Amino acid sequence: MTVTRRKFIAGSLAGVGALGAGSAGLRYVSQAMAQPTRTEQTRYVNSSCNICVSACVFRGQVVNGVIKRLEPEPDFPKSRGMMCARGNAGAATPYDPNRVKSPMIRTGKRGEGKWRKASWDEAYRYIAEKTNRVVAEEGGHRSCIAFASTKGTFQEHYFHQFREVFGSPNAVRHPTLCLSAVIRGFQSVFGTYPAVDVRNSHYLILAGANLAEGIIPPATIDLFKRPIGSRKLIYLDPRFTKTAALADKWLPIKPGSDMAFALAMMNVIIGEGLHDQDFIDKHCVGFAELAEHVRQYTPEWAERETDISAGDIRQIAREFATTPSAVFYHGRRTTWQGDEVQTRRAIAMVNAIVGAFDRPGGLIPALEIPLAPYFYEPAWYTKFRPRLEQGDVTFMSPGDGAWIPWRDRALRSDPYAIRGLFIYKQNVLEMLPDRNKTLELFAKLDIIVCVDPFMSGTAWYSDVVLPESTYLERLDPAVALDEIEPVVIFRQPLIKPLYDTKPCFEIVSELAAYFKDEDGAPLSDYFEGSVESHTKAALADHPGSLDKLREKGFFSTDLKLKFGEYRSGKKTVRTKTGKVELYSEDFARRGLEPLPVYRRPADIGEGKFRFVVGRHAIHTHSSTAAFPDLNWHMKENAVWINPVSARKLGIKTGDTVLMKNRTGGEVKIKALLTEGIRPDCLYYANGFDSLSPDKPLVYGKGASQAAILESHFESISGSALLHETIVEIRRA
Amino acid sequence: MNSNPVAIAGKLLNLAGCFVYPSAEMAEQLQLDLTDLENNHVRLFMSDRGGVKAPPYAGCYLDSEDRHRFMINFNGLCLRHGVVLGTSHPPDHIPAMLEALTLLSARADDSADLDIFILLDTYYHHWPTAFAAALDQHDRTGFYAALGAEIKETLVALRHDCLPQGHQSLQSPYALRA
Repeated sequence: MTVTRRKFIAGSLAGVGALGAGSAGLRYVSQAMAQPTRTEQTRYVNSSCNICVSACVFRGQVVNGVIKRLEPEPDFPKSRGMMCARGNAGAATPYDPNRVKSPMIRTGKRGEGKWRKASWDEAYRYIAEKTNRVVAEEGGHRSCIAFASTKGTFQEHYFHQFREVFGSPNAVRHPTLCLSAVIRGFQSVFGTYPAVDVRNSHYLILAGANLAEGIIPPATIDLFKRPIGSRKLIYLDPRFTKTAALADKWLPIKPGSDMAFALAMMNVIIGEGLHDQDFIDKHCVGFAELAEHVRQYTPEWAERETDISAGDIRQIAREFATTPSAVFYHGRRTTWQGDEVQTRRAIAMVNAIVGAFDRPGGLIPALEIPLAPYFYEPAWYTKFRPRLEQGDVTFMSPGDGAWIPWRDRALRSDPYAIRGLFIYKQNVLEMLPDRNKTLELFAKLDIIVCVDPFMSGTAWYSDVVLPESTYLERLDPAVALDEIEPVVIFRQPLIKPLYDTKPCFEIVSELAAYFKDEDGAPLSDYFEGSVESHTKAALADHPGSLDKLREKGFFSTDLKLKFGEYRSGKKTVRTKTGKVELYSEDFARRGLEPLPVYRRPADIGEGKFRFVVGRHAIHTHSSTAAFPDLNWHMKENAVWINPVSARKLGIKTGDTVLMKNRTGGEVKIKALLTEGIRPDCLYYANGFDSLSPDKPLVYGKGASQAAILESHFESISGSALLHETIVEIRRA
Repeated sequence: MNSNPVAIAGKLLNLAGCFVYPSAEMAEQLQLDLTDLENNHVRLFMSDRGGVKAPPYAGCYLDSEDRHRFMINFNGLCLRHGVVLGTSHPPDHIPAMLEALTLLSARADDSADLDIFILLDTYYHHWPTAFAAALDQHDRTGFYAALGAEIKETLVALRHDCLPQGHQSLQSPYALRA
C-alpha cells in the first residue's frame, strides 16, 4: 500500500504533521528571547585540524553560526603559518549530507545497506547484549573482542581506556601500517625516532619520503620554501613524484634496494676516510664492526642492486660526508619491502658516521612539553590471555599490535577465536592490504561496532554505527606535540554538534555503563570527569595555559631545543649503552642481525610488476578523496605504467586494464602511461573504489589499493610490507 | 499575503512535522508498515547506497559553492528577525526552513526590511522542484513523494500570492546572489 497525493492532502498531512508537535507547533525553530542582532555575526575560533596527523592549528571563521572557512594561524610554529588544501576542505565536513546522523543498527545482511535509526540507549543495549553473549560463550574470556583504532583524534585514548577496563589485550592500531619499521630502526641506533632539522640542512637525501605529497610536517615547508640553490636534494623513488620534480637529482631506485644504497654510501665514506672520527669515538659504539661489515658493499656491487650508477653513489656519498649540515631523512611511512627495520637502521647509521646528530641540519631528539598524565583505575580480570600475535613480532608494542599477523591468526582462530571487533575511526576495509582477507574476518565476527562521523566502507559493513561529532564540533583534550619547537594544542568546537552525534569520550563512557567487570561493578565507574576536566588536569603545571589554548589553539613554553646537549654529555642517548649503536648487542641477543645484511629481493618473474604505493598531493589516506572540495582535482585514480611496458602489452592511456595479484586480489582500473615510473613497477593512488555506497564520489570509481595489495609483514617491528605485492596486468 | 495566514502557517508546520522519524503512530495513521516507512526515511534522508537520495537540506539542490553562502545568509536573516534555528541540523534544513517561514511571515507585516516575496524568492524558490523530484523518484511509500509535491506547490502558491504589484509573472526579479 502507498500513500496517494489525494490521501496525503485529505488526511495524512494534518494528522501526521501534527504528531508530537509542541503547543506552538514548532519542532526545529524558536523565537529569540534576546534582542535580534542587526548585523552579520562573525567570530573566530582557533582549533586544530584533524584531516591528517599533523594537527595544524587554524583560525576558524564562523559567520552567522556557519563555519565559513579555516584560515591558517600565523603564529603556530609547526605549520609555519600554512593551512593546506586538505585542511581547508575540512570546513565542509560537518555539513556533508551523507554524515551518519544518529546511531544506526543494521537490519539487512552486512554490506546490504539496510539500517534503522536507533536511540543511543537502544544501540548501547544491542551492543552489550551481543557482546556479553559471545564473551559468555568464550568462557568469560574478554580477549575475544578486539579493538581497532587510528591515530589522529585526541580522544583515541578513551576508546582504549574502554578496551582496557573491558579486559581485552587485543588492540590493533595504525603504526604497523605506517611507521613502526622506521621507529624501530632509528630507535635501535639513536634510542629515539628523532626530528630532522630540515630548516638548517644544506644537503638532504630522501629515500621514498615523498614530502611534497604526503602529510605536511614542518620538514615539507622548510624544504620547499628554501630558495633554489640554497640546498641540494637527492631523491630516491621508483616514481617521479612531485618531490622528484623539486629535487636536484631523481634516482629511480629499484624497489627494495634502499639498504644497498645506504651500505654502499658507508663503504665509500669509511673507505675514503670521510667519516666523523671524533663524533664516532666519543658517541658511538660498534664502528669497527660496521667498517668491516660494509667493506663488501662497494658502489659497483650496489649499482647492480639499485640501478643507480656507482659513480652517482660515490659522488653522493662524498658530497654527503663533506657538507657540514647533510642529513639522510628517515622517512615516515615505511611499510615497504624486505628487511625494512634493517634498511632504516642502515640509513640511521649513514647519518651517525658523519655526525649528523645533535647538530644544526641533522637529526635531533624531539622535545615535548610535559603534561600531567591522564589517569584511571585499571580493571583486573582473572581470565586473561595474551594478545593473538604475541609471538610473531620481536618488538611488539602491546598498545598497537601488528595488523597483518594479528588478522592471520584471527582468521585461523589461533590460538583462540576473535568474535567481535570495535572500531574507532580506522577504515580497516580500505586501509589494510588484502581486502578479501578483511572481509573474510568480518564474516566470522558476531558483532562489529564502528564509531565514525562518516559511513566509511568499514562502517558500511558493521552491525552498529555510532556517530561521533566531527573535530569542528567537539572539545578534544590537550596534546603535546614533540617537535623541534614543541607545542601543546587542543581542539574546541566551532559550532555545536549537528545531528544526534557525540564525542568519543561520551560514547565510550556511556557504553561502559552497559558492561560490568568481574566483580559486577559497571565499567562506567572507571570513567570520571569530562574532557574539560581532563584538559584542566593535564595543564595543571602550566598556569594560564587553558586561556592561551582557548585564544590561540596552542601554547608553547620556554622549552627550546639546544644543539650540542648530547655531544656535551648534558643529555644521554636513550640506547642501552647510552651511545649511538652502530652494532646492536640487543639485536644479537634476540637472534637478530646486529648489523644490516642486504638480501636481494626475489625476482618478480617475467611479465610481472611490483605494485608500489605512495601519496597523492591532494589527498590524505583513504578519507579525503570523497571530499567534494578535493575530489574534483582527481575524480578517479588510474594505474601508472611505463610506456615501454605498456607497449609490450598493447595498453594505451585510458584503456581499462585488469590487474591481478598472487593471492586472488584483482581490480579493474584505467591506465595512465607515464615515464614517471620504472618499467618494472605499477602504481595507483589511494582512496578510491570505496566499499561504502554512502561515499558516492569514490564508490565504484577507480580501484582500491586494499583490493590489490598482498598481505606481508616483517617480524622485527610487525610492519606490513606493501611493496611485496607482485601483479600481472592486461587489457580488460 | 492573499491567503489565510493562519491556515498557511498551520500547513507549513504540518509539512515540517512530516519529516519527523517514523513512529508506530505515524505508520498507523498512514496505514503503512513501520519498517518500510523507516527504511524509506533512512534511505531518503539519512543514509543510503550511493548517498542519501533526497537530502532534506535546501542548499544541496544549489551549486555546491552556493550552499555555504545560502546557509550563512539564511541563518543571518533569521537572527536579524528574531528566529532561532535549532542547532541539530545545518541552517538549510528544510523542515526548519518551513517553520521559520511561518515566523518570518508573521514578522513581515511589521518589518520594513523584510519583504516576504524577496524572502520566498531568495530562499524558497530554487530548491523545491529538485527536492520534490528526488522524493518522487526514490520514495516507495508515496508519503514522502506527496510531501515533496505539496511543499513545492505550497511555496509556489505562496510566492504567487506575494507577487509584487506590477509583476505579472513568477520570473524571479531577484537572484540568489543579490
